[in-house]
Amino acid sequence: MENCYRFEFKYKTVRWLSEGDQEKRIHEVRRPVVMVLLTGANGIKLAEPFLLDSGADNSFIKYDLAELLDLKLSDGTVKVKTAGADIDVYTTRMEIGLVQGNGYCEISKDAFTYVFQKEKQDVPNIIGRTPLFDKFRITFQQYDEKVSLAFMEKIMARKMGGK
Amino acid sequence: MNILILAGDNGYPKGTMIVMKTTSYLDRNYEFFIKADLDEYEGKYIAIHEGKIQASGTSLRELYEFMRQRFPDIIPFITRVQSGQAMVL
Repeated sequence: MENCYRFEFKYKTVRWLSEGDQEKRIHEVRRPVVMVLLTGANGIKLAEPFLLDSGADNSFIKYDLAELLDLKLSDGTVKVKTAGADIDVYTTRMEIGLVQGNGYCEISKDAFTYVFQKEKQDVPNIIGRTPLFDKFRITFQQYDEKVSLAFMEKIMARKMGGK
Repeated sequence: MNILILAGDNGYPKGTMIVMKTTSYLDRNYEFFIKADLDEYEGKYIAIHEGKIQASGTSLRELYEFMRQRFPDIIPFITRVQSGQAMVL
């Protein structure tokens, strides 16, 4: 049996009304949201739900979150490709972990993270494949509306040259 | 009690377990967030504790300061309510 610590998070249901030419429609989506514990350079700790995005190479946070945590941002911005268009983002490093019940699992003390520009407010904080997928076996269970994450020492040992 | 599992690269052997102060109250906050209809807070930050919204506003920092003063012993759970639209990231 693998030596792991398991987290399980439910999907968040989001509903909204759209008004077309002919009719109003209620839309509903369910999104995998995990509870992330952030630690700022100033020691501030904050729990935040993050959208778990297996399509994102890295993680993204909003500007005011980076500001509150006193994270050091890159001097300039870099371009990142999204489905809609290229966007300009800052880069930073931050301490990040998963928290649930009495369990906390540190993901990284120094996770490379993109920061949305200040005016980009209506975007979720996103946790992408790096650094999460390197350290957890992740199972999306759409039918059960939950996502489970198993922290595995064996995977890490293999990556570090062990058995 | 809270169990901390370290991922290595921090001076401790990977998988080191450390006992910390409990954070189980975050589960209730998370449960509330998952189930709540938050339409009326769209575009605002909300701070959740003890299974309810303690405060809302447009400034993350103000909400954080409010929570630190009102509940100094907890880790605040604060999030911004997104507008309801389909997302392709």
